[in-house]
Amino acid sequence: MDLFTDFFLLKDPNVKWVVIAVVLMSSSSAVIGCFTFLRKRALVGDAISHAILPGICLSFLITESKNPFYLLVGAFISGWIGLYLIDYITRNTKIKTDAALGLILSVFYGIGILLLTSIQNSGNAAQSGLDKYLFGNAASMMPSDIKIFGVFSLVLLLLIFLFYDSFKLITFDRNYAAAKGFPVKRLEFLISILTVFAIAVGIQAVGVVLMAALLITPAAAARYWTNDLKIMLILSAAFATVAGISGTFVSYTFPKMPTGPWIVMVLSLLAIFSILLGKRKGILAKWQKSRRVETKMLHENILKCMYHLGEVNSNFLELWSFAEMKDKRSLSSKQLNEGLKKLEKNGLVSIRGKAARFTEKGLEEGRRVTKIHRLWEIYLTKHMQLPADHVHDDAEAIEHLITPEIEKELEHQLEYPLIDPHDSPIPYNNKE
Amino acid sequence: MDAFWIILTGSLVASSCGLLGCFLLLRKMTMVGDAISHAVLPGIAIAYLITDSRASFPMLLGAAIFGIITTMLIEFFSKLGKLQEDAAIGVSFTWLFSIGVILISFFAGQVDLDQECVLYGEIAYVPLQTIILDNGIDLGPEAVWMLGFNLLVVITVIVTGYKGLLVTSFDELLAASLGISTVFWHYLLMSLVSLTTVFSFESVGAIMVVAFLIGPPAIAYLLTDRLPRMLILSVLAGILSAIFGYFLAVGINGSIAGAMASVIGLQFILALFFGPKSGLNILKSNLAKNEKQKISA
Amino acid sequence: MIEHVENPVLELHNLTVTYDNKPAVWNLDYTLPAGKLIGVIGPNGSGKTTMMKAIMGLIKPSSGYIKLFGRDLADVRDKVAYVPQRGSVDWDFPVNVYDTVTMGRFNRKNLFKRINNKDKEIISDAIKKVQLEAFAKRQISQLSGGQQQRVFIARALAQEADLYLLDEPFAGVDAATENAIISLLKEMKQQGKTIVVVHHDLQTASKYFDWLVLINTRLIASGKTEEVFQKEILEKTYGGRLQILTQVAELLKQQGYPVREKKRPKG
Ligand SMILES: Nc1ncnc2c1ncn2[C@@H]1O[C@H](COP(=O)(O)OP(=O)(O)OP(=O)(O)O)[C@@H](O)[C@H]1O
Ligand SMILES: [Mg+2]
Repeated sequence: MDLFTDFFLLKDPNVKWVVIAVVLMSSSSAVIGCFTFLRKRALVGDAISHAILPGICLSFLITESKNPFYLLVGAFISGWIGLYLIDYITRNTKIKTDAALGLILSVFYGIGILLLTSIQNSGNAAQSGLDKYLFGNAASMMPSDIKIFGVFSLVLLLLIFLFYDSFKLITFDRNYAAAKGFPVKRLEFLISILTVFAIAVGIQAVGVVLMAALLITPAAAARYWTNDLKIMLILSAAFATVAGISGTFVSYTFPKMPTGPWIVMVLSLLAIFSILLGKRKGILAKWQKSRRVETKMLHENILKCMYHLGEVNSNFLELWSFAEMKDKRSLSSKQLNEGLKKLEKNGLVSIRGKAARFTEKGLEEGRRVTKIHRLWEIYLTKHMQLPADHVHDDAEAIEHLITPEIEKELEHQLEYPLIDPHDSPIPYNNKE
Repeated sequence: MDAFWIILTGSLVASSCGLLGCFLLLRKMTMVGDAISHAVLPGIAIAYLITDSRASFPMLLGAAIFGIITTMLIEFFSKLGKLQEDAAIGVSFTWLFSIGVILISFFAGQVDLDQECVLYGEIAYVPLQTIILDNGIDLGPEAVWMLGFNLLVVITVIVTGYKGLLVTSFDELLAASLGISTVFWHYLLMSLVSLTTVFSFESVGAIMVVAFLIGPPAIAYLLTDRLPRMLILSVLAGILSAIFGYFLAVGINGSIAGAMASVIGLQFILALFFGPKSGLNILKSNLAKNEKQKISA
Repeated sequence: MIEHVENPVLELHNLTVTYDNKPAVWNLDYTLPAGKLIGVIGPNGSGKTTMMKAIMGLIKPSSGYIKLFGRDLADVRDKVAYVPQRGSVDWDFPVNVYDTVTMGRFNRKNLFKRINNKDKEIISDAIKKVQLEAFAKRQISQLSGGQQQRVFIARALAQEADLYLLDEPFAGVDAATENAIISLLKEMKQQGKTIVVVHHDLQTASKYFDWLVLINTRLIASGKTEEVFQKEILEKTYGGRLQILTQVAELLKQQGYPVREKKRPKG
């Protein structure tokens, strides 16, 4: 518990700076990740993060120091070479993007591992800690590193802020941007540079192996809450922040634990939470919607059924027993009971024991649905060339969907017909 | 003798991966292979934790379960969640992989499985674990037997199922219209990839498997345009990288698996620039064409 | 203008196929006669490919059904051959012309057996019919568009079917090849085969086909060429979408409505 309060009250000044740096690093990756995600290049991020490893090792071999600035430069260069090669291979050979990505990813990683292990085995005293780049270990960052990475992340965020409008345009409508004279190629190049850069910075916290998650997962999660790019960027940064802090806390508490996997763990849980509950296209939201649709269909079907019963003797306000309704239309007792109860609550029918009758409002509704059904049947015979005995099923579904505007348009186009293809009358409202 | 066993192990991994990888590459599904190889890690870790050994059956079971969970998770994200395919893959495998690493770090010290093994395997230790019969006869390393068995399964399936794999890889629509189940062949291939990943895990780690799955097929693809030849060349490229990789690793005292992957990269570069239909040759033929045009003009 | 026939080779009954709840073809309902060369005509995105795929059981319809030779597809699979749009495969695939045509002889029963001599004869025959003998050993990306299309047709020929469904066999093909293909199709018709061809070019449509099916998401017309090839019908086919239909389709997608209610009501 002490550890917990110590950490979250930021008592240790070192912790404070680590947390700030991690938050900046993760959120800048998450923000640039939104663009990679939306441009459908999520896995490119994965490839680049692996491709960075040899650069780190080589720059260590050359400079013999762990100065984060040199390592960053090395990381950036090899990430860039990886990206260039992916592009080169897909352009100039018959190898497709997915294989080019996988090839660069795994071969660069292999080269990195070869160099890394070779450095480790050479017994160079300064090498300890290079393997932190594999799974990340934020808590053990040096104060000097923290400054550098914090500043770089800030610069990244600032650049994204400055170029926000152009980035947005080329992400959503590349052709339009090109037509409007935007330097699309150069802007895409800039996004790539920023991505490589964000990865080079971010691996401090997450490590090369799982860096892809920091680019993809927050963006994917944010997408379930909003259609607005600005909000998406903010949300995804927020998710990354939560994950970054949690990961740092874990490795602060258990120094042996790498940070990366925990950050990814928290991010993934946030993503799953968003997919289930997200209000834009989350699974729960979709389920609710389909429930609403089903209820609406049931209600309208009951009303229509009562209207049909009433049509027989032109006695629309009669009391119909449940049995009669079920006779007219295949409805289960449960459906009928629940549906009618709800309809009564809405003031469309009144129930007397095992029977129900329309209210004025309900009658109007039943008439409306019947009318749309029959209008649609006419429309189908006219415009889909369907024989009269094929139109019913389609109309059964579409009748629940037609808005008053479309209803008007239908009446107008069909020139206010009087009977449907089965010779049933079209029930117009008295006012019409 | 150790060198021999290590190279043999590497060659067996490379051969199984190289054969399966050809089909992954042609189906444009290499990233799914990548995802599976990462995602079986928690299965392997849990099996290690429960049985505390490298006994292969629980490991296979654990990995098989997580192989299935991966495909289900990707389906969940992309079908139910309507997440775009590449992101669905990315989210799923990073999550599962992180669970695996967390498990391993958490129980570090308790089990004989560490981060290094995950990252680059322990092919150097393969010769140490031999199967010794009761009467004292040494049958050689356990890993060699397991990987040999795996290769046998892979070859058997590819030879007997060649037609099915071919037609579903080339033209799914035709296959389906002929009444051949594309789903069956898809899952057969994916199961073999999972199986191979698990068997190869100890030797080359979870990530380097990808180099063996994609690299040799990509090299072979540049060199030939007939599928049977591509399969053979892919195996050859894999074996070459096992041999040269071993000596490279010894030379600079680094990870053997890493060196093998590096040699794959080198071979690819060679194929890219000196292969029959690529790089320099295209350049040459273009130059020749230009010359001709000049002359005719 | 819909002409129905007795004992149809192909019957579509209220066929609706949706992507994401939005109908790509809507209530197609027609029958096709045997032994004819039939053209399917419609603008881009009008659902021609979708319809062909649904007929071959490659996409599940949202409602309606399809009968081939009066039966379900599963019972008559051997009698139907499908030629997908050329762009649907990766031509860099490491197979040559002969390998590709060979795939036409694959089926569920012989999948684990070797190709036999009779198969080989049929394959060589098919390649000869499309005049690609000289290219039999060539990798398929090293063929012209027209040659690639002929490979696909040879593969279908190798299936020895009675009903052929071809999706845009003339796309990206030069005039000479187009003529060669059309005379091959006519020859097949002489042998009593039925051939359904998705076609784009109105100029040639009336020349090539005995029967036309015109669609634009919905069915516009189906009947003998001389009867349906009229200005009014063509205008309807190419005259853009019906506004109401488009609106309703959009609503279906937005609201997540099924095109059919789950339970079939009595009526
Ligand atoms: N897999 C899919 N997912 C979503 N929508 C699709 C899919 N395939 C086709 N569509 C949509 O369905 C409609 C019909 O497409 P289809 O390919 O059947 O048309 P087509 O008549 O064959 O067109 P073309 O002449 O261009 O080949 C189009 O609006 C298309 O955008
Ligand atoms: Mg089409």
